Amino acid sequence: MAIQAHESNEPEVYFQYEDIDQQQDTYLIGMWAFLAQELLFFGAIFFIYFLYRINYLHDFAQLSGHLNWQLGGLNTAILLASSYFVARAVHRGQTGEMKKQVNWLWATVACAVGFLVIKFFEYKDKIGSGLFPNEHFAQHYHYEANPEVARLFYSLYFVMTGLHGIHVLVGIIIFVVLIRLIKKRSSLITDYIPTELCGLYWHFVDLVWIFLYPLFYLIPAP
Amino acid sequence: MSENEKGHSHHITPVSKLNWTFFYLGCLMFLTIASARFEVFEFLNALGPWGTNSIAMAIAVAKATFVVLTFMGLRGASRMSKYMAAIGVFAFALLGMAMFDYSYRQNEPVAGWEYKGTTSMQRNNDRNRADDRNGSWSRPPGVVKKEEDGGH
Repeated sequence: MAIQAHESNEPEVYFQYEDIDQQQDTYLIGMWAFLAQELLFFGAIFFIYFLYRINYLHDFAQLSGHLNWQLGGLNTAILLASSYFVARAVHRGQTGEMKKQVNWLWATVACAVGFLVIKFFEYKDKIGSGLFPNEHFAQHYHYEANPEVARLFYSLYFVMTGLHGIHVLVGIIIFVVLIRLIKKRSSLITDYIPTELCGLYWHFVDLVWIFLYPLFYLIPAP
Repeated sequence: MSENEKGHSHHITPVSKLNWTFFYLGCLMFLTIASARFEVFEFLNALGPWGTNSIAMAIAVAKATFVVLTFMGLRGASRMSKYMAAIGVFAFALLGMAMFDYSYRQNEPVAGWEYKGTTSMQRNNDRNRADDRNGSWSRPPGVVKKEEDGGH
């Protein structure tokens, strides 16, 4: 199938590349390298989580019951849908249908905003219940699980979902900028590669949530 | 990879494949929730906490595989991109090995060194275990204590 460039802008092959394929591959390889280091960034925190989860199996299962798994599930569905929308946007970009590509990208942005809104209400609920792990944590704590482990659990919860939330926020900014550049027919956007690169980042954000959801919201009762 | 008349060789994932992947991801999401929260799957509890946790992680890995291979297009990506992804997974596995080493470390008894727990968390954990044996939590002031927690 043909890869059509933006109507007016043929992608330029820079002098260090043999052809456009090699140039585009280089961009994608760079993105995969970035995602590999993102995996290490999140991986370290995931392993900290596993270490404590192994040590406090029962407490973590009890604490997981505090989290709203329905809202978490809704957020999972939203992120999976957004991943699908990005994949469709990349496909439209590959077939040269820029207008439809922008529509799919807007759908992705809408999902990302929806995700953050739900996350905001979740955080509000937890912080309102005194479960933010600060110095006042123990005063409000009235649940079954060990309070020290609860503080640890909520520290991990806020750090991991918070870092993920920051990634979602960055994703929204990236997509809005991308949409503006596409609409302005910027010389930076000559083919589907910028959309594909942003899409790869977004899929990674989705991947992180795929693991965060069962690890925090769906710990089975021991 | 499909070649076209211009000589471009980038892989384009067909829409039908994207649709099916989305459908599979949705099914796996419901399976995750059902296995953890619905009574239909209560027989899984016989596997114990390690079994049920492994199921949840296995489903998450399956979902991640779908996303990486189809949505991220790794299946049709260049060999170098595949190497990059593999390097990421390999480095992640190295982190995991460090974690296992850490989780099995013991405090070595050295002459003149008394064990007090090396971190505040360990100390609290030891204290809570001791309180558990005595039938009382060391709850901070203001914390409501439930009847079944102890009181004997």
